[in-house]
Amino acid sequence: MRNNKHGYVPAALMFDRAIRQMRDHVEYEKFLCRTIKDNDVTKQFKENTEVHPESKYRFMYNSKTVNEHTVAGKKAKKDGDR
Amino acid sequence: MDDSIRKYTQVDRLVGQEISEELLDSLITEGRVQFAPKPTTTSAVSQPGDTPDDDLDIGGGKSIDDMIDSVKDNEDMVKLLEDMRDDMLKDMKIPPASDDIAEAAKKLGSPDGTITKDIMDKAQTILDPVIMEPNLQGYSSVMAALTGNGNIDGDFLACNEVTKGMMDEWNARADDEGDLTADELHKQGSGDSVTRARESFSKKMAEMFRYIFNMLWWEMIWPRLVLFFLESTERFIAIPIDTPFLILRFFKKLTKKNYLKYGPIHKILNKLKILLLCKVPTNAWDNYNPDPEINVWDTKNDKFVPLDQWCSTSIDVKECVNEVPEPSTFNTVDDQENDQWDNNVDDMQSGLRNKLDALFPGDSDTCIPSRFNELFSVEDFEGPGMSPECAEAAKKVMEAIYDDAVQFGDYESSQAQAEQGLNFILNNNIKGAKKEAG
Repeated sequence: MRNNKHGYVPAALMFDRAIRQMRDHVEYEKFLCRTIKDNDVTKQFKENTEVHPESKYRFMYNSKTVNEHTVAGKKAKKDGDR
Repeated sequence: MDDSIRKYTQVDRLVGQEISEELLDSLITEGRVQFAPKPTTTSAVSQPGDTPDDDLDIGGGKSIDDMIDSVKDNEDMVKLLEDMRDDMLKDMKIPPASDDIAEAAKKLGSPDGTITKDIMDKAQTILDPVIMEPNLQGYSSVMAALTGNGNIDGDFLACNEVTKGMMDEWNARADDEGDLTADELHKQGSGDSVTRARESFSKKMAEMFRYIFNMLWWEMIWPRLVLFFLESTERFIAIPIDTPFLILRFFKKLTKKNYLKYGPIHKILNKLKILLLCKVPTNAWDNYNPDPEINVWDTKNDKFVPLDQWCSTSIDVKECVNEVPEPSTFNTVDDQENDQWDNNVDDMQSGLRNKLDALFPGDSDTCIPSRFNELFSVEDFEGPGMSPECAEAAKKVMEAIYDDAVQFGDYESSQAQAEQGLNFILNNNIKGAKKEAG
């Protein structure tokens, strides 16, 4: 699929912005799920955000303060207070 | 509430009533709410935790788990798309098309000015609004909400130090707040630092708008208004009254003969023109420059000249008046005059577009108009992150990449192949796509 003499597929740039917006959207929905329920899937959501190359998602959705709004965060805080 | 008003209040009529399926359907937001809540009765808002999550039916026979699975599928799909995109771009090596672009790429860390995927990632990180805006303000409202302190302290990061992982530092700072609860942190963040940041930002925005409006008024609208009224007056005075249709006075060419005949009046009008168009006081608009796209009738040379040229020569009417008048050869109305009038109107419109285009460069990821860099002086920044020079370099690099993508290679064929890959992922369910990929 290398149709450009400079080593990349030009049309991939067309979708780059849309893909970024989709990622923004999905990360937000993952966080909303974490505020509703705590199960294996939502735990995986948090881990996937933790390892994603874009650090802004970790900053926005995995920081300590934000995590306290999630079900898992509330449970952890409750357990910690006991 | 008055009874006569009460009966027209929709919300009031719904209290204690069952909400029909039709109404619920109409409340579904297109594409955002996937599962309609089941018909329910309006009542006091339930508290979190009143209903066990496992028992919650969110309508359509779906449960919360189904919704979470759907989000997981979306995440997997986006991951596939990101991998596909990265695979298509990983071998990027764009040679710089100009010295400016080479310098910009070198600022971002390219040894020889070649643009690679790594350089592109740096440029995109710099231009990301979530990262860029707080850096340029020296303050982050999100950080303030998370930590109670939104200030970004320290020196500017070098452009080549910007990476996708740079916000991990802020995340670490957000974790360092000890035992404060989320509510306490939020209250703390809502104090003076947020107000200060908001005021500083408002002040900068107000200054920017003042700059825009002053520029638009003094450089584009004011000269055209002045010319319209003064030149119309000049034409009205100078064109002979024997013109059959009075309105044609405004379209006839103002010849030197006409001009000289009414010299003293035109002398006054000309001085007024010079005063109003060439001598805008600095306390009104200190960046005034006569616009070369506005044309002024130069009676000495019988032609239109750009306003800046006209101002610089500072036409002396006295010289015209003392010259021997030449025999007039322009007594009739010709189309050239009307065309010139139409050209002036076109010039005005295109000049306006050109000015705005220069201020707000077209499709790009940056929000920094180049002329407004001077409004964001270095002293205004409180902390690290990218300088305006980094943002400019990143913008140049991204523009160079997009230009290259459009110009080189078999664009249509590669677009078709990329769409084919994208459609394969979107049109097959995630499990099917994973199976195919093996």
